[in-house]
Amino acid sequence: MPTAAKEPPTDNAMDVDPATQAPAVVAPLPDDDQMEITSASEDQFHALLRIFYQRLFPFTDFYRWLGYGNPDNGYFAKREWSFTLASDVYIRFQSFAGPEELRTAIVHQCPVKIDIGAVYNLQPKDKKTVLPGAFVAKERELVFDIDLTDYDDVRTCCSAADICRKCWDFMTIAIKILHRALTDDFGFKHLLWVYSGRRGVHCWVSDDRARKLSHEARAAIVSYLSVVSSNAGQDRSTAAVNAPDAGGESEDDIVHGLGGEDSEGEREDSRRAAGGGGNDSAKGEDDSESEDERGDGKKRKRSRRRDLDDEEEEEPPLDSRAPELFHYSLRRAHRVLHKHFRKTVLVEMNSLATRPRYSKILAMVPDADIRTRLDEEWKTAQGSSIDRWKRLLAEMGRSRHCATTERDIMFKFLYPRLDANVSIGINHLLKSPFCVHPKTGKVCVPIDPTRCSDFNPLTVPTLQGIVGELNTNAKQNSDEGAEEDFERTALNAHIQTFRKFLHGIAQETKARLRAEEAAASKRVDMQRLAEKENRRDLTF
Amino acid sequence: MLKQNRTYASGATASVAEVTRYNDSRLGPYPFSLNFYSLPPPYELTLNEFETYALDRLRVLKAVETAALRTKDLATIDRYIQVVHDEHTHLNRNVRINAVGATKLYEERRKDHISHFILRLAYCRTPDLRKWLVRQETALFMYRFRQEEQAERARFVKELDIDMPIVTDRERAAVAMQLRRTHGYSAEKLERTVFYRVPFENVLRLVQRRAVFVKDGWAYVPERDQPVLIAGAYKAHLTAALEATAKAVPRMDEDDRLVPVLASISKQYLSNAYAPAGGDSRDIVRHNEVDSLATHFPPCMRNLHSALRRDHHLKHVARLQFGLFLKGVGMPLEEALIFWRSAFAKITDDQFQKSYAYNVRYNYGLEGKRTNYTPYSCVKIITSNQPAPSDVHGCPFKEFSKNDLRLMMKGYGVGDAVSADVARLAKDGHYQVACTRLYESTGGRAHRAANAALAAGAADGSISGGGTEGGGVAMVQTVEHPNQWFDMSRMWAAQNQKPTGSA
Repeated sequence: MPTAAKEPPTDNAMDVDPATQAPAVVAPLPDDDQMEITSASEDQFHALLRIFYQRLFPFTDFYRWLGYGNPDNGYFAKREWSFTLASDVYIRFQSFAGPEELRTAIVHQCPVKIDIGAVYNLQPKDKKTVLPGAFVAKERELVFDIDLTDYDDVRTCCSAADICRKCWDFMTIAIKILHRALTDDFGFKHLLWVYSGRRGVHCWVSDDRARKLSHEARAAIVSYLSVVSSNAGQDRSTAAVNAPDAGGESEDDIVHGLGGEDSEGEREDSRRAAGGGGNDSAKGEDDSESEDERGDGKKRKRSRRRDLDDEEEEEPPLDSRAPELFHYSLRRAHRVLHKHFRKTVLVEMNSLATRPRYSKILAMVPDADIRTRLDEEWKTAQGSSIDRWKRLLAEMGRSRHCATTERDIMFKFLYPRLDANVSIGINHLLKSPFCVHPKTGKVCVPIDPTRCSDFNPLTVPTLQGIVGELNTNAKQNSDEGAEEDFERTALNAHIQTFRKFLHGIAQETKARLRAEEAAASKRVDMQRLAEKENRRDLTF
Repeated sequence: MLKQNRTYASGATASVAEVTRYNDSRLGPYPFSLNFYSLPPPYELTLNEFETYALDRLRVLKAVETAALRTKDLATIDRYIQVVHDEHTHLNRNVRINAVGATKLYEERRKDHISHFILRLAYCRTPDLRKWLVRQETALFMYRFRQEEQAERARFVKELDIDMPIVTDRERAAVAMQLRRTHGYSAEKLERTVFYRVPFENVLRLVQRRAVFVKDGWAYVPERDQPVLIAGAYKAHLTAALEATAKAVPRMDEDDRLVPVLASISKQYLSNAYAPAGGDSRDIVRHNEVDSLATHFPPCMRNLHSALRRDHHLKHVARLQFGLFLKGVGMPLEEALIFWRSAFAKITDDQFQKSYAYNVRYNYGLEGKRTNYTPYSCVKIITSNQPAPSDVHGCPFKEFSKNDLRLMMKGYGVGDAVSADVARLAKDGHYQVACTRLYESTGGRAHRAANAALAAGAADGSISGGGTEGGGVAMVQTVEHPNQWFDMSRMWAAQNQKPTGSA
């Protein structure tokens, strides 16, 4: 299906060099976008933006973050920054020695967008002083970019750049699943989730180990975390959406790689988790989820603990006929999907309500009988998505071919869809946290993953809002100079979230330094001891 | 090389003595057919030997590369490699020591050892060359590892002493359920299996396929997947060694004997970049000729072309893929600017200049890094820039759904049998073979016989230098470059339209 009107995915992640991974200066790529704001309001926007940079932007916190506890070793100074200016001019390969230098440059140039790149072997501003091959990207956070536009084939409420509370659920689910996988499986501890300002989220995995990952390792992790294939959205085909039969044959393409690679015949002797539970348990979990949404701390604690519990009782009813093996990380993801499927897909997306919608789901059913029968039944009548889903499950329960279909549908609709290129390329740029999105005026604020269900993209602080608050909310104690300006604005809570993340990194750095110190002093002790021994030897 | 050997020689003999303790002394430093090539060879050899050894090994590496490109099926790969391998770099296994004699085993292994190090010298210069060598050498090593007997492999691995701690019973019990679920093992099977616990970075191939249980950054690798660990270790070892060599070579102070030989060796096999037939004297392709030439476009480019005509727009990567292809076809910069300007009918001149003209000039090396980019090869298109659902770039055989492929095949007017065949090849991941199959069944029947002859040649092991130059007539078994399809198709058309005419 032609999607020319859509924005390029390069919106908040600039594409880098086309031919190699080597860095290069690239054309501005704001492509198809027209500035929606008129020139008058544009001027006003920049006036506000300048105040924002002057008084609210947390430069020192950035320095604490990107210096990673070693402010003296030049790590921060080797980081690439790039600015998009109001005139659409795009400046790459800038670098700054410290927070003051960064502040001066940003306040002076007042960029509408700030991107953060890799850490290079030398200061990026010195790039031109060396031979092309001698300037290499060394490290970068492992980053992820998830964008709601990639869910357009399963979104029914909005499309393209629009978002609402309903479709934000896709992002919440993505955060939940990826956060667990990155922390539990890969052992990463310092993840910064950030709202991208319009319709997506970014994740900055900032652990030492993550920053040092090779290109191949990043690709492997992305592949480990990817399930829904790139052509799952059948965007390129013309007919598949409306005709279940036409799409029916490609069902095996849709969700692949769910099974393990094991070809050895031995299977688990029994699938204990298989039978039990059923729809009742699904319902129960849904209820607790909606309570969760209301922000009841106690409930959340419970559900969090339940997530960590052994899956034995908690596992959703995997069909006992499912022939494939199913990787542990996907089982865990499946529990999350199962918990949200009813509310997000059936209630909010109402994905079985009309013919174009239910055709997408029926197209995934391998049994042609069921497809034609249900299509006949549904195309004339009215029916709720929940009833239809139950009906479909009942039908599939009787079919021999549909053992994994329920699960496949859930993955297809809800499993996180990643922009692989952003994550894989070490020198790829990604929009910095706390930027202001030029179209929406929203600040790209951090999201606390443990409370991600509470995050509402529609109430995120806007540039106009917080600069306004600077004027209306007078200083609490005018004599107390320690108060920072942002503390009087809605930005405060978000900067605190950011600081929580920074605190985690600082703690680890401190522990590491302490250990190194201990090791060093131990070495010194040993040396002294040895010297003493020597002296003793000499005296004898 | 000859100079360097002397410095390493003493170190080598020391460890040789240690290794041979366990083994037949007649084999000298080579107790196994497998070799991790930790020490350079301390021998003197003639320049002639130097070159033949290197070329023999290169033939095998080229076969290894082609095999991996053509299919993903291990058995087929092994069969394909075996023919060439046995011809040029045959290595007898230890069990054959009495049948063929220890001297022969020693000679074979010595040659293998030397040739490996010559290629290290030849291929250490640039990152691309290093990457190529590491990939092919690792594949070759793994091929040999697979061919070796279980007992020999175990002995070899033991000798290597790779750091891969075995998971204790207690640790295993703690994650028993996850391990069983990942591998589908029964409780008894789990008891019987040895697991190694390594950083996940060491087994990326397993992580990528979700074929291993990962927890807190540790991968729990079952015994069965041990080869992946070995391959990883070999690859890391070789990568590090090549980087060290690259730093050492300029300081080697070599005379004129070896440098030219090394340079020619390294050039021989990395002719992946597309070189147009006839060089600069070729016909220029004008912006208004693109539509009429589209019949000669390979499927990926036809797809981009029709998307461009339909949407009056292409996204970044698609522009690069198509733009560089057109450049390869013979479109100069001025024509390219006109072509893209008129193709993007919906945008203003100003917008075009601001956002797209830069890209076009970039492709021609006039902006940014100022590299004169070559058109993307199939491998590049297939392996890089994974398209998102709404993108149109990439290899259709990889990205299209079955249904889309069928529609595309219909567009080419091929029969159902061919269509099914191509779909099957594409589904199994043989994208380039699928593309070749389509080509053969549409225009290129004439090439078929030639291809068959070449394939037979490969089977005899008489294949010479893979990409033998011959410009556009280069008859390759598989389509390896979109521009190659274009050239073949256009030439074929020219020959058929005017059988008597001399173009």
